[in-house]
Amino acid sequence: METPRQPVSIKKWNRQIHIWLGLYMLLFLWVIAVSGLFMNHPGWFNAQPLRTSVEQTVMMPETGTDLEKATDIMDQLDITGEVLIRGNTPEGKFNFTCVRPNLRQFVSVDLATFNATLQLVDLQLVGTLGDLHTFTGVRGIYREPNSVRDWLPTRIWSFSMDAVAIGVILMVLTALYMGWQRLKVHPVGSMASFALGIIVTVYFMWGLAWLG
Amino acid sequence: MQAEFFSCANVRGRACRGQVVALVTAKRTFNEVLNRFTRQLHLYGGLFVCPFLLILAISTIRLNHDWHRPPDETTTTVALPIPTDVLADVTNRQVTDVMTPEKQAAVRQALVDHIVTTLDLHGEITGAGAVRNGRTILNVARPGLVKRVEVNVRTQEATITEGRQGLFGTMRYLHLNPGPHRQPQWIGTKGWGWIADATVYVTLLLTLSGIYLWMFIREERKAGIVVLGAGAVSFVAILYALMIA
Repeated sequence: METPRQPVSIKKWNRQIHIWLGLYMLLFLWVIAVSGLFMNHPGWFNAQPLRTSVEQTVMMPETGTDLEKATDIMDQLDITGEVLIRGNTPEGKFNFTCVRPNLRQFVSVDLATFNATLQLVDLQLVGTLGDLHTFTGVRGIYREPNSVRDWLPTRIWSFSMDAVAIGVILMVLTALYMGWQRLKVHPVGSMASFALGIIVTVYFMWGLAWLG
Repeated sequence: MQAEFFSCANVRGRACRGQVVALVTAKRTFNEVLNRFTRQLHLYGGLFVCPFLLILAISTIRLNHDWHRPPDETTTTVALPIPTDVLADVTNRQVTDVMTPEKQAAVRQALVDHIVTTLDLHGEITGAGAVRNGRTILNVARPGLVKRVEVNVRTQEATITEGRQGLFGTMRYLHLNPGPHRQPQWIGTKGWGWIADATVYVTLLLTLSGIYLWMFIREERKAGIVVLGAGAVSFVAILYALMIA
């Protein structure tokens, strides 16, 4: 006789969420973790970016916003990426930067001759890892007057970073639940490691401001 | 040893059978010990880094959207007597113009040291002590607290603007420091740098030990492979779109 299916317990669901999230985010976590480590130790590597430059005549669009003009010129130059337009463009020029995590593409169009200079900066592996870590499209450091994510892959990557961050928070919560479940089996080790983490966090979050 | 094993299997002697049983038992015991050790390492390491991962994850969301509230600021002005010899070295053009860059850096550092000691400042200090239009500026940062010290060397006064960053601001500070452009000088930043590094190492260890532990859970194996594959495919697809397409 077939028995009715038992509801899956919270414990099992919790473990499944922990395992599945961890496996799904594995490569994302590796990239974020390793790039974070490299960014903390810029002296470990001395890979200089590779720079090249090309020139081409372009048709300067007469109407449209700066972003629309930049996109039009990018089409003519056959380049893609997130567009950064800083406020302080010199007179007689139309300058913008088109960025990808592995490549910076600086475009400068002379408005008198319509000659576009395209400078390509290949960031190499370490630079690319660092850029992946920070590639949000809307960083304050870019100093764009109107910062928007204008490239679909930027939006997808930015969404992925949000998803990974939320995934990590869920991993932590499910880990704490499992740690709570295992408290009877490993009371001293579990409590000691968690307490140590909390003490160090409190020290750096609040202690340094209060004590120093 | 392999040849010995096969000869034993052929002979089927009692002694050889005993050796095989001992080998299998030893292997099983080793696996159990390794499994238990990995499980404990995963548990303890995970519990230790939980708070750091929370700080980094929460601040990631805020950095990703450039959500940043300016700190609550208070400004005070205090008297700051500066010894004549220290002041002369950095303000007298006849003296500074003939200095080597190393000497200039040294005398400016003397001014910075004087300001830091007199005002009892603690934290990551930026500002080279260069005096322009009779003023020099230092920034002194700690998690949760940033001070901007503007010293007027003519009136010998220091205007201190103190910014309290709040909970999310402190998380943001910890996420961004030490960072690629800020080589830490202060022990507090160095200490946090070690913790940030440790978080990375432990996280990498957790992923590896997690994979090892997952492989032993038979009922999760198939679903796990699908999820791992889906994660890898989406990761590669996004990187392809970002860097190649």
